[in-house]
Amino acid sequence: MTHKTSGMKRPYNILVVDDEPDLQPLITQRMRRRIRRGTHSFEFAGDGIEALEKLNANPDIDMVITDINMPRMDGLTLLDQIPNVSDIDVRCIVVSAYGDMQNIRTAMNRGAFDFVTKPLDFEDLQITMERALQHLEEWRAALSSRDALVALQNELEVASSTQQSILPKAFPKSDEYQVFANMEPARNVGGDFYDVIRLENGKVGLAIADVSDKGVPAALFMMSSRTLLKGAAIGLADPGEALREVNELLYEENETMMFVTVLYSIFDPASGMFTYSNGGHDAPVLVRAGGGAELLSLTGGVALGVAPEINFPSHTMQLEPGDTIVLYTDGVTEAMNGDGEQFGVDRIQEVFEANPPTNSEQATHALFDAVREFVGDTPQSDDITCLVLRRTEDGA
Amino acid sequence: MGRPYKILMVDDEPDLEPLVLQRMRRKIRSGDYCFVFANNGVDALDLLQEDQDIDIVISDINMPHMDGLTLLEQIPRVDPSVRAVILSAYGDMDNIRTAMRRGAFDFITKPIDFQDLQETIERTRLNLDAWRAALSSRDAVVTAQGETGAGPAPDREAAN
Repeated sequence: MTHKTSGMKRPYNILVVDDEPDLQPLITQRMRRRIRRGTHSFEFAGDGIEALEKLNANPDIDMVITDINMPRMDGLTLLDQIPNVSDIDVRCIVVSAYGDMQNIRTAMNRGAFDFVTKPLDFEDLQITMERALQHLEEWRAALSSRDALVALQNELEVASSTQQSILPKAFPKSDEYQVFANMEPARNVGGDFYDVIRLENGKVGLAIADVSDKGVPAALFMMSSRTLLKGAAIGLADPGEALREVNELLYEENETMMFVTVLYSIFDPASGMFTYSNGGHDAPVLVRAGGGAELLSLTGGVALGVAPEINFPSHTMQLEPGDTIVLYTDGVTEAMNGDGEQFGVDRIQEVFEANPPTNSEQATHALFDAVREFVGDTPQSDDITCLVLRRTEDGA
Repeated sequence: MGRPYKILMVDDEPDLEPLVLQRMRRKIRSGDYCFVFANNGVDALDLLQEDQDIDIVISDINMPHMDGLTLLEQIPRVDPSVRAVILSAYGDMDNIRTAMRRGAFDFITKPIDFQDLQETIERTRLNLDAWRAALSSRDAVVTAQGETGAGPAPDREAAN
């Protein structure tokens, strides 16, 4: 328990480049405390070429302190060459003759971090070294954020594709009806979902849902809500009963205090009957075959996961051939443009009144196009999801 | 490239402003640089406080009210992202060393060599751009952590 944390860190590796042989013992002597404490270690090179060899061999070098006048390769040329050495991140300090402004300016413009003058003032050298190393630390901390960002983004992409992969992309093919749906997450992972579930006797279950909150917690809640709903949908013939069961299961184990609004419906292609139940979700839009769009009457119900023993009434209506049902989340109605104006449910109705749906896929795209045109460049904070069911004309 | 790089020049000599504007006119006309001027450290700090867009401060040392070396110490308190370059008399090693130790990014000597000044501004600009890119990654990490749920507590109003 008494380990020094500083002992965990490797010493700063400093390469001193000078052709004067007496510099090495001088540095070793003046820096002996740092060397002994293990905070700094020094390497020496006699000219620029040897320095480049050492830099190439040891990417852990943190700092180069170099003289200017040296045989074979001088310090100014070395400064020019250092950026070509791969995998190193060093700060360079140049040692110049006192008042040699021209060389100092050249060194600075070639990327030296700072300079010290001869004869060496060791106090100034130490301050300059520490300042450069501190600078290097800050820079590396900022760079590590960049690496952390890449790692996080990779994980979020995996989460996103996992989530997208559970949303059905292929829809039942039937002469009697068409289904199409799409979800555009506002962020990498979203809280909206839809589902299309094949049931007994050719019936199809259609769900749209929106989880409170955003990000990964919402995505996880979405995944479990979707699984529970699918199970309930397969076992129970009535949408209201399915919602009741999902609500009980979500409520029992809902430590996160999240909730989900769900509209779940069952369509029977044989009869054209559409039965739906609402758990606090937005009312579906019905577009009549003869034109005109209206909101289906809400069947009440609160969001799932909030309270136990709630009844969700089911409501049944007849879909005529050519009728279209549009299920959507509030990402559609609350999509905002640059003036802070919301898309609203009226615009959904207008889209379909102006262009009566010819099939489900076209209708879904029409709504997404209208929302995109409305918001322009304004970034959206919520997922946008829409599911369209259409009873075909030959379905009668 | 976005907005011009904004440079605050601080000097009590009145002939600096027309000289800089004349010698840097191409860079100004092309929208690369824009210059603002102050006569002393106090005015410079006021300007820095008012104008968050200033990228670099180039300051003389000897000025009334507040000299350049004091200004150097004050700048990080007003705007830590600003880079400072000191204008010193040629060969004034003591002041140059003091300025560098106080965190100046670089120094320029008088009379101003405009080629050197421009190179110095460009280096400062590269350094600032690299820092800003790194810092924006840091902000993006915070955002991404928000997505993973490591961020602020959930907002129960979100769904309806």
